[in-house]
Formats: sequence, structure tokens, C-alpha cells
Amino acid sequence: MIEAAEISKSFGDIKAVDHISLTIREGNVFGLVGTNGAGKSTFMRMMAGVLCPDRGTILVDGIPVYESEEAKRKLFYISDDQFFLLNSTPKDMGCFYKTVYPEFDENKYLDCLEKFSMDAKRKIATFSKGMKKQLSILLGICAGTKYLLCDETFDGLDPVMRQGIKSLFVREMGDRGLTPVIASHNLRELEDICDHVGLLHKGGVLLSKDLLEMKCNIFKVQCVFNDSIMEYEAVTKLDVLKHERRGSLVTLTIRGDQEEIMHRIQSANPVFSEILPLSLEEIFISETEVVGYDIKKLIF
Amino acid sequence: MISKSSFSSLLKEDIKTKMWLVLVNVILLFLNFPVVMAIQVQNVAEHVRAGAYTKDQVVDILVYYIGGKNMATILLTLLMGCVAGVAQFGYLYHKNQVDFYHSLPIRRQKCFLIRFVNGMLMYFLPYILFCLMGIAVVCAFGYGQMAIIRAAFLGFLINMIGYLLCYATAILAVCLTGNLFSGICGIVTFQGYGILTALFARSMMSEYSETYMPEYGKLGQLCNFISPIGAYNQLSDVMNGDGSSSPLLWLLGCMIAAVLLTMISFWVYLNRKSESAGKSIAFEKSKGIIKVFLMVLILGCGTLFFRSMGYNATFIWSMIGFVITFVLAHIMVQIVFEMDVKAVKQGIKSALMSVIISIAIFGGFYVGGHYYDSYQIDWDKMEYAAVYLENYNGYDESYYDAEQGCYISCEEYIFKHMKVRDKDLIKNFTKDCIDSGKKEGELVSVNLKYTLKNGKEVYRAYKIEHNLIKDYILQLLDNKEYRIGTVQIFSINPEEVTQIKYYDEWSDYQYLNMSQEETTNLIETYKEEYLSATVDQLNQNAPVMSFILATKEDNMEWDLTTVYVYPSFEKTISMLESKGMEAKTMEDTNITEITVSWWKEIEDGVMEPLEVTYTEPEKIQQLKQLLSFAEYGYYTAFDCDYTLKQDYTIVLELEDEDRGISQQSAVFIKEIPEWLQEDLKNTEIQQEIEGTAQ
Repeated sequence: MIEAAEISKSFGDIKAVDHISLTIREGNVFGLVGTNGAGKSTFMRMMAGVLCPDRGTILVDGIPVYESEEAKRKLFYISDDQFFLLNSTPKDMGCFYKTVYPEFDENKYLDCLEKFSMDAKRKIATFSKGMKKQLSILLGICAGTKYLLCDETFDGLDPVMRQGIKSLFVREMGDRGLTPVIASHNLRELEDICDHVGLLHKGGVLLSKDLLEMKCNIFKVQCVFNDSIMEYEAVTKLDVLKHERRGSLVTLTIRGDQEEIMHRIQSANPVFSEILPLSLEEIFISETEVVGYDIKKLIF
Repeated sequence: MISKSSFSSLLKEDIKTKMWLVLVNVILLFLNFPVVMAIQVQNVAEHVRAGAYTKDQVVDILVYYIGGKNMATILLTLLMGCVAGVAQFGYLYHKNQVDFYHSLPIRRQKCFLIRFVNGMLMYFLPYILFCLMGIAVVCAFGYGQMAIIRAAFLGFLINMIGYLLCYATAILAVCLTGNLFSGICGIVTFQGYGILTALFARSMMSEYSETYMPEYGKLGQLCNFISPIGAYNQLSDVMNGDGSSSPLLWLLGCMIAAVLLTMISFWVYLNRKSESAGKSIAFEKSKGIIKVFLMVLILGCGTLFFRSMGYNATFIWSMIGFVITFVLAHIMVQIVFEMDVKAVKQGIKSALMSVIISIAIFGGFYVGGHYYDSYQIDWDKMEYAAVYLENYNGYDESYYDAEQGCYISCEEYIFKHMKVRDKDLIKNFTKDCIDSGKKEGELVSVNLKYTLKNGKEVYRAYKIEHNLIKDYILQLLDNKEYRIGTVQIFSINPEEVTQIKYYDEWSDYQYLNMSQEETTNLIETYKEEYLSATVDQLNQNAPVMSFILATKEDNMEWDLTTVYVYPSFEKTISMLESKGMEAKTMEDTNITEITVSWWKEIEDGVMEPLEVTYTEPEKIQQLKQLLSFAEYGYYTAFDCDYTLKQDYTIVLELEDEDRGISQQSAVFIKEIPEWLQEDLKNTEIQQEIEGTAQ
């Protein structure tokens, strides 16, 4: 388990991370989602032991991660701008990581390279951006670490490659309990793979929930009301995150129990009502609108 | 804890990424040692075949190239130390590299150690290899002397310490900065700050003190203690026998300094935040301090520079220079620190602090300079003193110093050999010099060195009034210790003199045929007569003979000194005449004409030549009493009116049975009498009249 307790980090006057507390359980895929400048990368770097938090500690299986070889041996960090040794090939990188990570599986690595059609002896400098990301993931998976921290790693991969990597993740999770932590803007991708999602905004945590629980807690209801007063009465008794009207059609984004929501709506005698599950993207937008990050302002 | 095998694996992995640096070191050291040694051996082989070089001379040359004095090796070591510092720790400048390395399960301490050790090995190993190859090349040509092997070992020791000094300094600069440009500026600053500070301090002292002697002052030596390059250079000199410092102390001191620098750079590395990558300065709080240090030195140097341009209005130029330098320095430093032109509005506090400190420094030197000038030593603590009178010690410019095996200046010689113990004489002389310094008028330069009983040496450069110097010259000349300190024959070992020669009337070299015993006897007789001569005998008469003492070393003849024989040195003259030399006096010469010429300033910078010629035997006879042949006339022991010689050019027309009519130069050695002054004045008036008439 990775535990972050009251983590704060500032860069000069800029507060990048502000009192974040998160728990990442083993065996789950943790998705770290956030607006631009929310502090995702900073938090990931602190988890990887690259940055030292100004306040709080991050524990990896109970060991503070910063400057701890033991804790870092359980982590493999893939940054958004991954670095490769000068003039190295995938084989060279494999040799290097084998020196550093005792559990590095060279055979599995070479096997993966072959499966993903990557030439082990080709200079990495000649690889495309997507190929480099791909290589980073393979190295991370084959390092044999317990946790794999991926910062915007899936961006740049083609759909086929993405599926391939996902299936690898699933296999590794099943075989040895790998716990990936993925930071991304690509909510659609995270939706497929993540079990748990942490939503960051302006350095703080907006929410941290199981994805299923999140989806079971927010609903989109489309309905048509005859009586505006009854509509009002019903709506005010609910935790409405968003209220849109197009003619007679009212679309509500409501947080709460599904049964209760339907009961309230029905009590207003709508002409029509239908409950729809939200995608992760819709949940994200709704939650951030609540705190003032208004998507409409950004759409021209 | 990572095992030894892992440590060596990590070392190997690190070196794999720095093969370019290994290659550069290999190529440069290969050229520097075996190739250069082969070239040198080939070069000297020609000279050896021709008999121009002995084997010992060849070994000396080879020792230089393989040892610790080779400037090329020193510069190479310095450069590669800095390059290695950037190569090994420059990853700190890039965010993606910092993320990569600092996320690995390797503690920072270990990371530093791996990189540091590799940086040393990448230079040490090729150095050792190619140095051994150089020795092998030399041995193959038959010069495998112990001296060369010793020099190679010593050179290795010196250069490795020097490398460590420069390398650790470069690492420190890299860890304190956040990008390559700032890093290079940092390296240059760390390497050069000490040298510039020492030069600045020396210049300030020279500017604000009338009596400071920079070439003997301790301020210039500051750079040996506060600059890695200075320390390295000094270590090289001291370990090779130059200078008076203890080699062991310097070696230990430099090693301790190198270790300390390494420890400091280690601490800075550990405490450097990963997020500093890309910034100009890694430690935000250090910006102010660094800026103050930089600006104070820049302000000082800039102000001095402008001050030097002002001839009379030095204060105004100093002010102008201070303001201009302040503005430029502040802008430059802010832009480098923040990499943003708009940042010039920031950092005002540290800029003002620099101003205050700079003013304090200038004030300190101003006050200190005055105190320095008026300082007198505790006379009870004086052991002895040396006095050098510029333009009055009319001896050869260069004195051969047997210890150093080279020629040194007259001043250096006097400071080394003169030991005047007459405290009252020196004390009065010093007091008059200090008083003269406050006056205007014609002043004569005097340099003094006081040696105290505790071994401390104090140097001062004074100016004394012209009318006072004459009396002191006579008092000094009366002092035997003074005489011994000014004439080189007293420091020469007669056994070293292998030849005595002189110039004949045809200006050709002639050698005196003398045995070693006769040579020693001649030298001892001369010394005895020189010390027993009266002041007048030395001061009122020009020499009548001169001979040169020479030595032979490595098949080459070296002149040690020219010895001037005065008319009163009867025994010496007799010995020389018995060997065929002849004394030369004005009295013995048939002079038919004497022309005295000089330059008169008619306007600012415009000079006009004037001359007066004498042919009457009576006048010629009178002039003979005042003159000496130029070859001897400059070597009266003390010339009270040196300007006399400089202002007038005298040409003698001689008539001789053998040589016919010839011309020779002469100089005044006595005061010009009134009739001559009248004649000279009348010539000026005549010239003016003729000029007007035209």
C-alpha cells in the first residue's frame, strides 16, 4: 500500500500540492486524474521519491519513500518525459535496469520486445515518441516491482498498442499483484482499466473513490415536467450538481442513491424520466464545475 | 546496502554512458605523454649528436615534460577536471534526467560516490597508462634515468591533487547552479574569483599606498590560498623546488583543501532539491550571497579601471566608474540569475548591500594605505636591512644568481645579499623617507627591505628628497655591509670561476691566462681593496679597468659579473697588468676635441638639440678632470647627480698613433663648474638669437 498523508509541496510562491492524503491499495489500478496544474505530476514525483515533500510523508508499504533504496526497489517510475541513457539500445537499458532492480526479468523483457516488434539493438534515439513510451512501459513491467507509476504514459500510444499494454497489465496484476498508478487526462482510457480514481484540482484532492462507487453515486436524469412548481420541489430536495434545460427536456446531474433519486423525481409526476449512467469524463466535468472549473468558459 | 559487485556494476554502467569523455582523455593524454616524449627525444638527439647537449641536459628536458612543472599537463588537467565535473553531474540540469536517476533505488550518497569515483578514474587510469608509456619511450632511447621516473611519480602526485581540486570545484559549481550556462559561469567564477580577488587587493594597495611593493607583497600570494588554480600552480612550483615554502606542508594543505572541497560539494549535492533543474541558481537563498560576492568584486575592479583612466581627477573617475559598474553588474547578474530581462527590477537589497560593502572596502584601503605608508617597524626587532636606490645603484641590470641558476635584477640581488645592521642609519633614513613622502619636489626612489629577528620581511618603496639622498649615499657607502650587498663579487665562490676575460681596445674579448689559485687570489685581493677603500676613493673616481668573471656549465660559458677596478686598487691593478691588461684613464688619453650636447625643451614636448665644442688644450684639460669614459663612468660607486649623466651627451675626439683619430663617449662624474654652466647658457642664448634672426 502507498499512503500519502497531508502531503504539501510548493515551488516558490506556487502551491503545487496542498494537503493531499491518499491511499493506494495493492492489487488495484489507481487512476490519478486532474485538471491542468492540479499537481498530478508533482504528486507522482513525490511518490517516486524524486521530490521531497515540504510537509507530510509518503509511505510505501510502511517505509518512507524519499531516499530509501528499499522503498524505491518496490517502485518503477515512468515520467511524462522519459530519459534513456546516451546512445543506448533497448538491450542496454535492460542491462542497466538489471543492475539496479534485482528482480528485473531479462528473458521476459526480451520476449516482450519481440512480441511488440521492437528491435533490441536499435538505438533508442531513432525511436518515435510512441515507441519510447512503449519501451518505458515494457521496462517498467519487466523490472518486477510491486508498483508501477505511470505519468501520462498512455498518451502517444496507438490503440492497438494500448490494448496490448493493458492486457500485459492485467496479466501482471493477476500473476504477481502489480499495482499500477496511472496519471492521465485520457479519462476514456482510465475508465477501461482503473479500479480506483483520485481526482485532483488545484493541488488538492476533490475526490478519491472506487470507480464503480463513483459511477453508482452520480447519475444523469433526463425528464420532462408538467408542473414547474413540483419540478422545483423535487429538484431542491436532491443534490443536483448540474441542471440543464432544453425546451421541455431537463437534464439533471445528481449525486445520491439511485432509488432515492428516482423516487424524488417520480414524486414530481414527470411526463418522462430516464436515468443514465455517467462516463468518467462527465463525472470529472461535473465535479470540477462544482468547484468553479467551468468547462463552458473554455469552449469557444 | 548495495553489494560491491553491484557497486562495480553501477560504475561500469556509468562509464558506458561517458565513453566520449574516456576517449577524449585517452587521446589528449596519449598526445601529452608518449607522443611528446618521442618528439622531444628526437629533437634532442640532433643536439646530442652535435655535442651541444649533455646527457644531463637531455634528462632535464625530459623531466620537465613528464614531471609536474609541464604547463601543458597542468592546463590539460585543469580543463579535464572541469569537464568531468560537468559531465558527471550535469544531469542535475535536466528535469527528465533528474527524474530518471533520482527515482532509481540508489541513495544519493551512492549516486554521488559512483559519479565522483568514475570522474577520477576516467582521468587517473589513462594518465598512469600513458605516463608509463612515455617512460617506456624514453627508456627505449636510452634515457631511462631514475630522475625521470621520480619526476613522473611526482608529476602524477601533483597533477592528481590538482585534478581533484579543479574537479571538486567544478562539481560544487554544478550543484549550486541549475543550467549549463550558469554552471559554466559558476566554474569560471570559482576558479578565477580567488585570483581576481588577489589581483584586486594588490591593485588597491598599489593605488592607495605610496610605499607598497606589489612584487614583494603578500597580497598577490593570496590567490595561492583562495583559488584552486592558484593552489595547484603553487603546489607545482613548490614540489619542484621553486619558492621557499615547505613542499610537504603544501602537499598536505592541498590534499586537505581538495578533500574539504569534495565534502562541501557532497553536502551541497545531497541537499540540492531535484526541482532546481532548469533554474539558474539551485539554492534560492544563496542567490543574495552569491550576488553580493560577485558584485563587490566587479564593482571594485570596474571602479579601479575607471580610476586608472583619470590622471588628475581620480575621485571623479572613481565615482563615474562606480556608478556605471554598479548598473552594469546588477543588470548582468540579475539576467544570469533569473534568465529574464525583467528581473533587473529585483535583487535591489543585495545590490545595495554590495554597494555598502564596496564602499567599506575602498574606505578600508584608503585608511589602511595611509597607515601602511606611515608605519615603521619596531627598531629593536630589526635584524638587518637592504637598501636599493633606483638609478643610483649604477650596476648591471642583471645579476647572475648561482642558487637559482639564472639572472636576477639588481634589486633582487641586493635584497637577497645585503645585510646592513646599522640601525640608526636605517632608522634615520626611513624617517626622512616618510617625511619626504609628504612633500612635493624632486624625489628619488628608494626601496627598502627590513628583516626582523623573527625572520619576517617587510618591504617599502619610498621617495626621498634629492638634497637628502647625497648625504645618505655617502653614509651607506661608508658601510661595509652595504658594499658587500651591492657588488656581486662578494657572493661568488672563486672555485666556480673558470674564466676571466676583458674587452681590449678593439672591443674584442681577451682571456687572462690565470690558474685557479691566481684567480682566487685576484678575487680576494679585489674584495679586500674594495672594502678598505675610502668613500672618496670610490665616489670621486671612475674605474680604470674592468674584467669579467665567467663560469663554464654544460659546455657553455656564463658570465657571472663584471668587476670594476678603481684607481686606488693598486694591488689588483698590478696583478691585472702583469697579465697584459692596461688601465685606461683620461689623463693618458690624447683628446683633441670635446663636444658637449644636450636637448633643450622649447615648447611642450618639443626639444631642440644644442651643443658646444671645446678644442683648446686648457679647456680640454679642465674637462678631463670632470669626465670619465662612458664604459666606466656609469659605474662610479655612487653618483650623486645621476641626472648629470643623463642630460648631457659627451663625445671625445681622440688621436692615437696606432688608431689615428677616433671618437669615444664620456660622461660627467663631477659637478659641472660655473664656467661650463656659463658656456652652456651662452650657447642657448646664441641659438635663440640665431633662431630669432632667421
